[in-house]
Amino acid sequence: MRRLAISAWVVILCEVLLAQGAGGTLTGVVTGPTGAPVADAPIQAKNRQSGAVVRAVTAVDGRYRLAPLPSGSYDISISMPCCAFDPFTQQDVVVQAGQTRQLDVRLAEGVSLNTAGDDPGTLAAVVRNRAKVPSRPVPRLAGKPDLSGVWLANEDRYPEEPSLLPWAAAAVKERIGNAFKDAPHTQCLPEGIPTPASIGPFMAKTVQTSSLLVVLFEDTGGFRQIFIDGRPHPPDPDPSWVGHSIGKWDGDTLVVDTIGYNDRSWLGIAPHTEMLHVIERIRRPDFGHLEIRVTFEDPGTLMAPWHQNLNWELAPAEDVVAYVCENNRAQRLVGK
Amino acid sequence: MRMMLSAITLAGLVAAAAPGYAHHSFAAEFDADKSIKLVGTVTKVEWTNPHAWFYIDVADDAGKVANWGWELGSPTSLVRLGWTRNSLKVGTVITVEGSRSRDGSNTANARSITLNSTGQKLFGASSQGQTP
Repeated sequence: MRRLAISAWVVILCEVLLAQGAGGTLTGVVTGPTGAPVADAPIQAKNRQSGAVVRAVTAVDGRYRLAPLPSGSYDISISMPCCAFDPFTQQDVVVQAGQTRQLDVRLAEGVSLNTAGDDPGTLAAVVRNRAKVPSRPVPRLAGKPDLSGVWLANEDRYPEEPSLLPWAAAAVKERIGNAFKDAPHTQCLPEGIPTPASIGPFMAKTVQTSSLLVVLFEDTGGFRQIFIDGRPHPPDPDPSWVGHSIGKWDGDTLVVDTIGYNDRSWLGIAPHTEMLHVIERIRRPDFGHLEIRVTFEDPGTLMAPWHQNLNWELAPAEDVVAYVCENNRAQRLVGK
Repeated sequence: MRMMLSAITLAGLVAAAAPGYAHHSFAAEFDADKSIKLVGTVTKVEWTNPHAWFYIDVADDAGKVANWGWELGSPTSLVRLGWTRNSLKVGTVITVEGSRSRDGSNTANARSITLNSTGQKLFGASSQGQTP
Protein backbone atom coordinates (compact mmCIF):
# COMPACT_ATOMS: atom_id res chain seq x y z
CA MET A 1 0.00 0.00 0.00
CA ARG A 2 2.79 2.33 1.00
CA ARG A 3 4.75 1.44 -2.13
CA LEU A 4 1.65 2.22 -4.19
CA ALA A 5 1.30 5.57 -2.50
CA ILE A 6 4.97 6.38 -3.06
CA SER A 7 4.81 5.43 -6.74
CA ALA A 8 1.70 7.55 -7.14
CA TRP A 9 3.61 10.49 -5.67
CA VAL A 10 6.52 9.87 -7.98
CA VAL A 11 4.17 9.84 -10.96
CA ILE A 12 2.51 13.06 -9.81
CA LEU A 13 5.90 14.68 -9.17
CA CYS A 14 7.11 13.67 -12.62
CA GLU A 15 3.98 15.07 -14.15
CA VAL A 16 4.41 18.36 -12.31
CA LEU A 17 8.05 18.60 -13.42
CA LEU A 18 7.11 17.68 -16.97
CA ALA A 19 4.31 20.22 -16.98
CA GLN A 20 6.60 22.93 -15.71
CA GLY A 21 9.34 22.08 -18.14
CA ALA A 22 7.41 21.50 -21.32
CA GLY A 23 4.07 23.20 -21.06
CA GLY A 24 0.61 23.09 -19.61
CA THR A 25 -2.05 20.46 -19.42
CA LEU A 26 -5.67 20.44 -20.51
CA THR A 27 -7.77 17.74 -18.97
CA GLY A 28 -11.43 16.93 -18.42
CA VAL A 29 -14.31 14.56 -19.03
CA VAL A 30 -16.32 14.19 -22.23
CA THR A 31 -19.97 13.25 -21.78
CA GLY A 32 -22.96 12.82 -24.07
CA PRO A 33 -26.32 14.61 -23.94
CA THR A 34 -27.47 12.42 -21.05
CA GLY A 35 -24.31 12.98 -19.01
CA ALA A 36 -22.97 9.49 -19.67
CA PRO A 37 -19.20 9.39 -20.35
CA VAL A 38 -18.17 9.10 -23.99
CA ALA A 39 -15.24 6.76 -24.56
CA ASP A 40 -12.87 6.78 -27.52
CA ALA A 41 -13.65 10.40 -28.42
CA PRO A 42 -10.82 11.90 -30.48
CA ILE A 43 -9.99 15.30 -28.97
CA GLN A 44 -7.57 17.75 -30.52
CA ALA A 45 -5.93 21.00 -29.35
CA LYS A 46 -4.65 23.21 -32.16
CA ASN A 47 -2.36 26.10 -31.26
CA ARG A 48 -3.85 29.25 -32.77
CA GLN A 49 -0.43 30.81 -33.42
CA SER A 50 1.74 27.92 -34.59
CA GLY A 51 -0.93 25.53 -35.87
CA ALA A 52 0.76 22.73 -33.89
CA VAL A 53 -1.61 19.98 -32.87
CA VAL A 54 -1.79 17.76 -29.77
CA ARG A 55 -4.24 14.86 -29.75
CA ALA A 56 -5.71 12.41 -27.28
CA VAL A 57 -8.54 9.91 -27.04
CA THR A 58 -10.92 9.67 -24.09
CA ALA A 59 -10.76 6.64 -21.79
CA VAL A 60 -13.73 4.46 -20.82
CA ASP A 61 -14.70 6.99 -18.13
CA GLY A 62 -14.65 9.82 -20.68
CA ARG A 63 -11.45 11.34 -19.29
CA TYR A 64 -8.79 12.87 -21.50
CA ARG A 65 -5.46 14.61 -20.98
CA LEU A 66 -3.80 16.85 -23.54
CA ALA A 67 -0.16 17.52 -22.65
CA PRO A 68 2.35 18.99 -22.91
CA LEU A 69 0.85 22.16 -24.39
CA PRO A 70 3.21 25.14 -24.82
CA SER A 71 1.73 28.35 -23.39
CA GLY A 72 -0.76 29.84 -25.79
CA SER A 73 -4.27 29.89 -27.12
CA TYR A 74 -5.85 26.72 -28.50
CA ASP A 75 -8.85 25.65 -30.55
CA ILE A 76 -10.28 22.47 -29.05
CA SER A 77 -12.28 20.13 -31.25
CA ILE A 78 -13.92 16.72 -31.11
CA SER A 79 -15.26 15.12 -34.26
CA MET A 80 -17.15 11.97 -33.33
CA PRO A 81 -17.93 9.31 -35.91
CA CYS A 82 -21.22 10.04 -37.62
CA CYS A 83 -23.91 10.77 -36.27
CA ALA A 84 -24.92 10.20 -32.65
CA PHE A 85 -23.17 13.36 -31.41
CA ASP A 86 -22.67 16.77 -32.92
CA PRO A 87 -19.07 17.81 -33.50
CA PHE A 88 -17.69 20.05 -30.73
CA THR A 89 -15.42 23.06 -31.08
CA GLN A 90 -14.29 25.65 -28.55
CA GLN A 91 -12.01 28.40 -29.73
CA ASP A 92 -9.41 30.41 -27.87
CA VAL A 93 -8.80 28.24 -24.81
CA VAL A 94 -5.74 29.70 -23.06
CA VAL A 95 -3.26 27.29 -21.48
CA GLN A 96 -0.23 28.38 -19.41
CA ALA A 97 2.97 26.37 -18.97
CA GLY A 98 3.09 24.62 -15.65
CA GLN A 99 -0.65 24.83 -15.12
CA THR A 100 -3.42 22.30 -15.49
CA ARG A 101 -6.68 23.58 -16.89
CA GLN A 102 -9.95 21.69 -16.66
CA LEU A 103 -12.30 21.63 -19.65
CA ASP A 104 -15.28 19.29 -19.44
CA VAL A 105 -17.26 18.79 -22.63
CA ARG A 106 -20.88 17.80 -22.99
CA LEU A 107 -21.54 16.70 -26.57
CA ALA A 108 -24.90 17.56 -28.09
CA GLU A 109 -27.09 15.01 -29.82
CA GLY A 110 -26.14 14.61 -33.47
CA VAL A 111 -28.12 15.73 -36.51
CA SER A 112 -28.86 12.26 -37.77
CA LEU A 113 -30.13 11.23 -34.37
CA ASN A 114 -30.40 7.67 -33.35
CA THR A 115 -32.31 5.97 -36.10
CA ALA A 116 -32.73 2.49 -34.72
CA GLY A 117 -30.10 0.13 -36.06
CA ASP A 118 -28.26 2.91 -37.85
CA ASP A 119 -25.66 4.15 -35.40
CA PRO A 120 -22.10 3.77 -36.70
CA GLY A 121 -20.57 3.73 -33.23
CA THR A 122 -22.68 0.78 -32.14
CA LEU A 123 -22.06 -1.02 -35.42
CA ALA A 124 -18.31 -0.51 -35.27
CA ALA A 125 -18.22 -1.88 -31.72
CA VAL A 126 -20.23 -4.96 -32.76
CA VAL A 127 -17.95 -5.60 -35.75
CA ARG A 128 -14.78 -5.15 -33.65
CA ASN A 129 -16.03 -7.48 -30.93
CA ARG A 130 -17.19 -10.20 -33.30
CA ALA A 131 -13.70 -11.36 -34.27
CA LYS A 132 -10.23 -10.69 -32.96
CA VAL A 133 -7.70 -9.71 -35.62
CA PRO A 134 -4.90 -12.29 -35.62
CA SER A 135 -1.33 -11.10 -35.25
CA ARG A 136 0.38 -12.10 -38.48
CA PRO A 137 2.86 -10.65 -40.92
CA VAL A 138 1.45 -8.58 -43.77
CA PRO A 139 0.79 -11.00 -46.66
CA ARG A 140 2.69 -10.34 -49.89
CA LEU A 141 1.76 -10.83 -53.51
CA ALA A 142 4.16 -10.61 -56.43
CA GLY A 143 6.74 -8.95 -54.18
CA LYS A 144 4.35 -6.28 -52.87
CA PRO A 145 2.04 -6.06 -49.84
CA ASP A 146 -1.31 -7.73 -50.47
CA LEU A 147 -3.94 -5.13 -49.58
CA SER A 148 -6.80 -7.63 -49.88
CA GLY A 149 -9.30 -7.91 -47.06
CA VAL A 150 -12.66 -6.86 -45.68
CA TRP A 151 -12.33 -3.56 -43.88
CA LEU A 152 -14.19 -1.41 -41.43
CA ALA A 153 -13.65 1.85 -43.27
CA ASN A 154 -13.50 4.51 -40.59
CA GLU A 155 -13.81 8.22 -41.20
CA ASP A 156 -10.95 10.64 -40.57
CA ARG A 157 -10.91 11.17 -36.81
CA TYR A 158 -9.29 14.58 -37.14
CA PRO A 159 -10.83 16.08 -40.28
CA GLU A 160 -8.91 18.89 -41.95
CA GLU A 161 -10.75 22.01 -43.05
CA PRO A 162 -10.84 22.54 -46.82
CA SER A 163 -9.98 26.00 -48.21
CA LEU A 164 -12.90 26.64 -50.50
CA LEU A 165 -13.25 29.21 -53.26
CA PRO A 166 -16.12 31.64 -52.58
CA TRP A 167 -18.61 29.91 -54.90
CA ALA A 168 -17.97 26.57 -53.18
CA ALA A 169 -18.23 28.12 -49.70
CA ALA A 170 -21.57 29.62 -50.73
CA ALA A 171 -22.77 26.22 -51.96
CA VAL A 172 -21.78 24.64 -48.65
CA LYS A 173 -23.68 27.31 -46.74
CA GLU A 174 -26.76 26.62 -48.83
CA ARG A 175 -26.45 22.86 -48.29
CA ILE A 176 -26.17 23.31 -44.53
CA GLY A 177 -29.14 25.69 -44.67
CA ASN A 178 -31.39 23.16 -46.35
CA ALA A 179 -30.23 20.20 -44.23
CA PHE A 180 -28.52 18.49 -47.17
CA LYS A 181 -31.83 17.68 -48.81
CA ASP A 182 -30.17 17.42 -52.24
CA ALA A 183 -27.34 15.12 -51.17
CA PRO A 184 -26.78 12.53 -53.94
CA HIS A 185 -27.72 9.71 -51.64
CA THR A 186 -31.21 11.06 -51.07
CA GLN A 187 -31.71 10.13 -54.73
CA CYS A 188 -29.97 6.76 -54.33
CA LEU A 189 -26.83 8.04 -56.06
CA PRO A 190 -23.30 7.21 -54.88
CA GLU A 191 -21.85 9.38 -52.18
CA GLY A 192 -18.28 9.73 -51.06
CA ILE A 193 -14.94 10.20 -52.78
CA PRO A 194 -12.72 8.35 -53.47
CA THR A 195 -14.80 5.35 -52.39
CA PRO A 196 -18.56 5.79 -52.02
CA ALA A 197 -19.57 5.03 -48.46
CA SER A 198 -23.25 5.14 -47.81
CA ILE A 199 -23.59 2.83 -44.87
CA GLY A 200 -21.95 3.61 -41.58
CA PRO A 201 -19.72 2.14 -40.55
CA PHE A 202 -18.89 1.61 -44.14
CA MET A 203 -17.50 -1.80 -45.08
CA ALA A 204 -15.21 -2.25 -48.06
CA LYS A 205 -13.62 -5.33 -49.58
CA THR A 206 -10.33 -5.07 -51.44
CA VAL A 207 -9.28 -7.79 -53.86
CA GLN A 208 -5.76 -7.53 -55.27
CA THR A 209 -4.01 -9.26 -58.14
CA SER A 210 -0.59 -8.41 -59.55
CA SER A 211 -2.20 -6.03 -62.05
CA LEU A 212 -5.43 -4.85 -60.43
CA LEU A 213 -6.91 -3.72 -57.13
CA VAL A 214 -10.69 -3.92 -56.92
CA VAL A 215 -12.58 -2.13 -54.15
CA LEU A 216 -16.06 -3.50 -53.53
CA PHE A 217 -18.33 -1.22 -51.52
CA GLU A 218 -21.90 -1.16 -50.24
CA ASP A 219 -23.22 1.79 -52.17
CA THR A 220 -24.69 2.34 -55.60
CA GLY A 221 -22.15 1.36 -58.24
CA GLY A 222 -20.62 -1.21 -55.97
CA PHE A 223 -17.03 -1.31 -57.24
CA ARG A 224 -13.89 0.65 -58.14
CA GLN A 225 -11.10 -0.68 -60.33
CA ILE A 226 -7.55 0.52 -59.73
CA PHE A 227 -5.34 -0.56 -62.64
CA ILE A 228 -1.80 -1.39 -61.54
CA ASP A 229 -0.67 -2.82 -64.87
CA GLY A 230 1.18 0.31 -65.97
CA ARG A 231 -1.52 1.71 -68.25
CA PRO A 232 -1.96 5.50 -68.29
CA HIS A 233 -5.23 7.41 -67.84
CA PRO A 234 -7.22 7.70 -71.06
CA PRO A 235 -6.62 11.12 -72.63
CA ASP A 236 -10.20 12.27 -72.14
CA PRO A 237 -12.03 9.93 -69.75
CA ASP A 238 -15.81 10.05 -69.64
CA PRO A 239 -16.74 11.75 -66.36
CA SER A 240 -18.05 9.22 -63.85
CA TRP A 241 -18.95 8.90 -60.15
CA VAL A 242 -15.77 7.01 -59.21
CA GLY A 243 -13.42 8.34 -61.90
CA HIS A 244 -10.55 6.48 -63.58
CA SER A 245 -7.89 5.11 -61.19
CA ILE A 246 -4.35 3.92 -61.87
CA GLY A 247 -1.90 2.74 -59.22
CA LYS A 248 1.89 2.58 -58.97
CA TRP A 249 3.99 1.12 -56.17
CA ASP A 250 6.29 3.45 -54.26
CA GLY A 251 8.14 0.89 -52.15
CA ASP A 252 5.41 -0.81 -50.13
CA THR A 253 2.93 2.06 -50.64
CA LEU A 254 0.41 1.91 -53.47
CA VAL A 255 -0.06 5.39 -54.93
CA VAL A 256 -3.44 5.64 -56.63
CA ASP A 257 -4.13 8.49 -59.01
CA THR A 258 -7.73 9.23 -60.00
CA ILE A 259 -9.18 11.69 -62.52
CA GLY A 260 -12.28 11.66 -64.69
CA TYR A 261 -14.85 12.52 -62.02
CA ASN A 262 -18.21 14.01 -62.88
CA ASP A 263 -19.18 17.19 -61.01
CA ARG A 264 -22.37 15.72 -59.53
CA SER A 265 -20.88 13.95 -56.54
CA TRP A 266 -20.15 15.74 -53.26
CA LEU A 267 -16.72 16.23 -51.74
CA GLY A 268 -17.88 15.79 -48.17
CA ILE A 269 -20.55 18.47 -48.21
CA ALA A 270 -18.64 20.68 -50.65
CA PRO A 271 -19.11 20.70 -54.42
CA HIS A 272 -16.30 20.00 -56.87
CA THR A 273 -15.63 20.30 -60.58
CA GLU A 274 -14.57 17.82 -63.24
CA MET A 275 -11.00 19.02 -62.61
CA LEU A 276 -10.95 17.03 -59.37
CA HIS A 277 -7.75 15.01 -59.00
CA VAL A 278 -7.40 12.54 -56.12
CA ILE A 279 -4.22 10.87 -54.90
CA GLU A 280 -4.43 8.01 -52.39
CA ARG A 281 -1.31 6.67 -50.70
CA ILE A 282 -2.32 3.24 -49.37
CA ARG A 283 -0.16 1.15 -47.05
CA ARG A 284 -0.74 -1.84 -44.82
CA PRO A 285 1.46 -1.12 -41.79
CA ASP A 286 0.39 -4.35 -40.10
CA PHE A 287 -1.93 -7.28 -40.78
CA GLY A 288 -4.94 -5.54 -39.26
CA HIS A 289 -4.82 -2.05 -40.80
CA LEU A 290 -4.83 -0.06 -44.01
CA GLU A 291 -3.63 3.53 -43.79
CA ILE A 292 -4.86 5.75 -46.58
CA ARG A 293 -3.63 9.31 -47.00
CA VAL A 294 -5.93 11.06 -49.47
CA THR A 295 -5.11 14.34 -51.21
CA PHE A 296 -7.82 16.22 -53.09
CA GLU A 297 -6.84 18.81 -55.69
CA ASP A 298 -9.39 20.85 -57.61
CA PRO A 299 -8.40 24.33 -58.80
CA GLY A 300 -12.08 24.93 -59.59
CA THR A 301 -13.11 24.46 -55.96
CA LEU A 302 -10.18 24.33 -53.55
CA MET A 303 -7.67 27.10 -52.84
CA ALA A 304 -5.17 24.50 -51.59
CA PRO A 305 -5.01 20.69 -51.59
CA TRP A 306 -7.25 19.08 -48.99
CA HIS A 307 -6.25 15.95 -47.06
CA GLN A 308 -7.86 13.04 -45.28
CA ASN A 309 -6.15 10.41 -43.16
CA LEU A 310 -8.16 7.21 -43.13
CA ASN A 311 -7.49 4.20 -40.95
CA TRP A 312 -9.30 1.06 -42.08
CA GLU A 313 -9.51 -1.89 -39.68
CA LEU A 314 -9.51 -5.51 -40.83
CA ALA A 315 -12.86 -7.14 -40.08
CA PRO A 316 -12.15 -10.87 -40.34
CA ALA A 317 -15.70 -12.05 -39.62
CA GLU A 318 -17.46 -9.66 -42.02
CA ASP A 319 -18.14 -9.53 -45.71
CA VAL A 320 -19.68 -6.97 -48.00
CA VAL A 321 -23.25 -7.67 -49.02
CA ALA A 322 -25.20 -6.69 -52.10
CA TYR A 323 -26.61 -3.20 -51.77
CA VAL A 324 -29.20 -1.80 -54.12
CA CYS A 325 -30.64 1.53 -53.10
CA GLU A 326 -34.18 0.91 -54.22
CA ASN A 327 -36.48 2.80 -52.03
CA ASN A 328 -35.44 6.05 -50.41
CA ARG A 329 -39.01 7.08 -49.77
CA ALA A 330 -38.06 9.42 -46.95
CA GLN A 331 -37.05 11.92 -49.60
CA ARG A 332 -40.75 12.56 -50.18
CA LEU A 333 -41.13 13.65 -46.59
CA VAL A 334 -39.13 16.86 -46.97
CA GLY A 335 -41.22 19.66 -45.59
CA LYS A 336 -40.87 23.40 -45.73
CA MET B 1 -12.62 40.60 -38.77
CA ARG B 2 -16.22 39.57 -38.96
CA MET B 3 -15.57 38.21 -42.46
CA MET B 4 -12.67 36.18 -41.14
CA LEU B 5 -14.67 34.80 -38.27
CA SER B 6 -17.50 33.65 -40.49
CA ALA B 7 -14.99 32.04 -42.86
CA ILE B 8 -13.49 30.10 -39.98
CA THR B 9 -16.89 29.05 -38.70
CA LEU B 10 -17.96 27.90 -42.14
CA ALA B 11 -14.76 25.96 -42.68
CA GLY B 12 -15.23 24.27 -39.32
CA LEU B 13 -18.67 23.20 -40.39
CA VAL B 14 -17.38 21.74 -43.65
CA ALA B 15 -14.83 19.55 -41.94
CA ALA B 16 -17.11 18.64 -39.10
CA ALA B 17 -20.24 17.99 -41.10
CA ALA B 18 -18.57 16.26 -44.03
CA PRO B 19 -18.70 12.79 -42.56
CA GLY B 20 -21.65 13.58 -40.39
CA TYR B 21 -24.79 13.52 -42.43
CA ALA B 22 -24.95 9.80 -43.12
CA HIS B 23 -26.86 8.33 -45.95
CA HIS B 24 -29.96 10.32 -45.67
CA SER B 25 -30.71 13.86 -44.95
CA PHE B 26 -32.40 13.20 -41.63
CA ALA B 27 -32.97 16.82 -40.71
CA ALA B 28 -34.63 17.58 -44.04
CA GLU B 29 -37.03 14.67 -43.71
CA PHE B 30 -37.75 14.38 -40.00
CA ASP B 31 -38.19 16.95 -37.25
CA ALA B 32 -36.14 16.15 -34.15
CA ASP B 33 -38.36 18.53 -32.15
CA LYS B 34 -41.50 16.55 -33.00
CA SER B 35 -41.07 13.51 -30.80
CA ILE B 36 -43.72 10.84 -31.00
CA LYS B 37 -44.45 7.66 -29.07
CA LEU B 38 -47.07 5.18 -30.25
CA VAL B 39 -48.30 1.73 -29.30
CA GLY B 40 -49.49 -0.43 -32.17
CA THR B 41 -49.58 -3.78 -33.92
CA VAL B 42 -47.09 -4.52 -36.69
CA THR B 43 -48.86 -4.89 -40.06
CA LYS B 44 -45.94 -5.00 -42.52
CA VAL B 45 -42.14 -5.00 -42.67
CA GLU B 46 -40.20 -3.87 -45.77
CA TRP B 47 -36.60 -5.07 -45.79
CA THR B 48 -35.29 -2.60 -48.38
CA ASN B 49 -32.20 -0.42 -48.74
CA PRO B 50 -31.35 2.29 -47.96
CA HIS B 51 -33.85 1.95 -45.12
CA ALA B 52 -36.01 -0.79 -43.74
CA TRP B 53 -39.59 0.27 -42.97
CA PHE B 54 -42.30 -1.15 -40.80
CA TYR B 55 -45.94 -0.26 -40.33
CA ILE B 56 -48.20 -0.41 -37.28
CA ASP B 57 -51.92 -0.05 -36.74
CA VAL B 58 -52.61 2.43 -33.96
CA ALA B 59 -56.02 2.83 -32.37
CA ASP B 60 -57.05 6.17 -30.86
CA ASP B 61 -59.27 6.61 -27.78
CA ALA B 62 -62.39 6.36 -29.93
CA GLY B 63 -61.19 3.08 -31.41
CA LYS B 64 -60.40 4.57 -34.81
CA VAL B 65 -57.38 2.83 -36.36
CA ALA B 66 -54.65 4.58 -38.35
CA ASN B 67 -51.65 2.99 -40.04
CA TRP B 68 -48.24 4.55 -39.35
CA GLY B 69 -45.01 4.01 -41.32
CA TRP B 70 -41.66 4.00 -39.50
CA GLU B 71 -38.18 4.28 -40.95
CA LEU B 72 -35.34 2.12 -39.63
CA GLY B 73 -31.64 1.90 -40.50
CA SER B 74 -30.48 -0.01 -43.54
CA PRO B 75 -30.91 -3.79 -43.64
CA THR B 76 -27.15 -3.96 -44.27
CA SER B 77 -26.52 -2.42 -40.85
CA LEU B 78 -29.38 -4.23 -39.12
CA VAL B 79 -28.06 -7.60 -40.30
CA ARG B 80 -24.59 -6.71 -38.95
CA LEU B 81 -26.23 -6.00 -35.60
CA GLY B 82 -27.54 -9.55 -35.63
CA TRP B 83 -31.14 -9.01 -36.70
CA THR B 84 -33.03 -10.53 -39.56
CA ARG B 85 -36.07 -9.55 -41.58
CA ASN B 86 -38.05 -11.77 -39.19
CA SER B 87 -36.96 -10.02 -36.00
CA LEU B 88 -40.04 -7.85 -36.11
CA LYS B 89 -43.07 -10.01 -36.86
CA VAL B 90 -46.46 -9.02 -38.19
CA GLY B 91 -49.01 -9.09 -35.37
CA THR B 92 -46.51 -8.12 -32.64
CA VAL B 93 -47.56 -5.32 -30.32
CA ILE B 94 -44.79 -2.77 -29.90
CA THR B 95 -44.11 0.66 -28.46
CA VAL B 96 -42.18 2.92 -30.81
CA GLU B 97 -40.51 6.25 -30.11
CA GLY B 98 -39.01 8.57 -32.68
CA SER B 99 -39.38 11.76 -34.68
CA ARG B 100 -42.27 12.70 -36.97
CA SER B 101 -41.78 13.48 -40.63
CA ARG B 102 -41.86 17.10 -41.71
CA ASP B 103 -44.64 16.60 -44.27
CA GLY B 104 -47.21 15.88 -41.55
CA SER B 105 -48.10 12.40 -42.81
CA ASN B 106 -48.41 9.35 -40.54
CA THR B 107 -44.71 8.72 -40.88
CA ALA B 108 -41.80 8.81 -38.46
CA ASN B 109 -38.20 7.80 -37.90
CA ALA B 110 -37.89 5.06 -35.29
CA ARG B 111 -35.40 5.63 -32.52
CA SER B 112 -36.45 3.00 -30.05
CA ILE B 113 -38.69 -0.08 -30.35
CA THR B 114 -39.90 -2.10 -27.36
CA LEU B 115 -41.76 -5.42 -27.52
CA ASN B 116 -44.73 -4.96 -25.19
CA SER B 117 -44.91 -8.67 -24.30
CA THR B 118 -41.36 -8.88 -22.91
CA GLY B 119 -40.13 -5.31 -22.54
CA GLN B 120 -37.17 -6.16 -24.79
CA LYS B 121 -35.75 -3.33 -26.87
CA LEU B 122 -35.02 -4.00 -30.53
CA PHE B 123 -32.34 -2.66 -32.89
CA GLY B 124 -29.53 -1.08 -30.88
CA ALA B 125 -28.91 2.60 -31.37
CA SER B 126 -26.27 4.76 -29.77
CA SER B 127 -27.87 5.64 -26.50
CA GLN B 128 -30.81 3.31 -26.24
CA GLY B 129 -31.64 -0.21 -27.17
CA GLN B 130 -29.44 -3.21 -27.27
CA THR B 131 -28.20 -5.72 -29.72
CA PRO B 132 -29.41 -9.29 -29.38
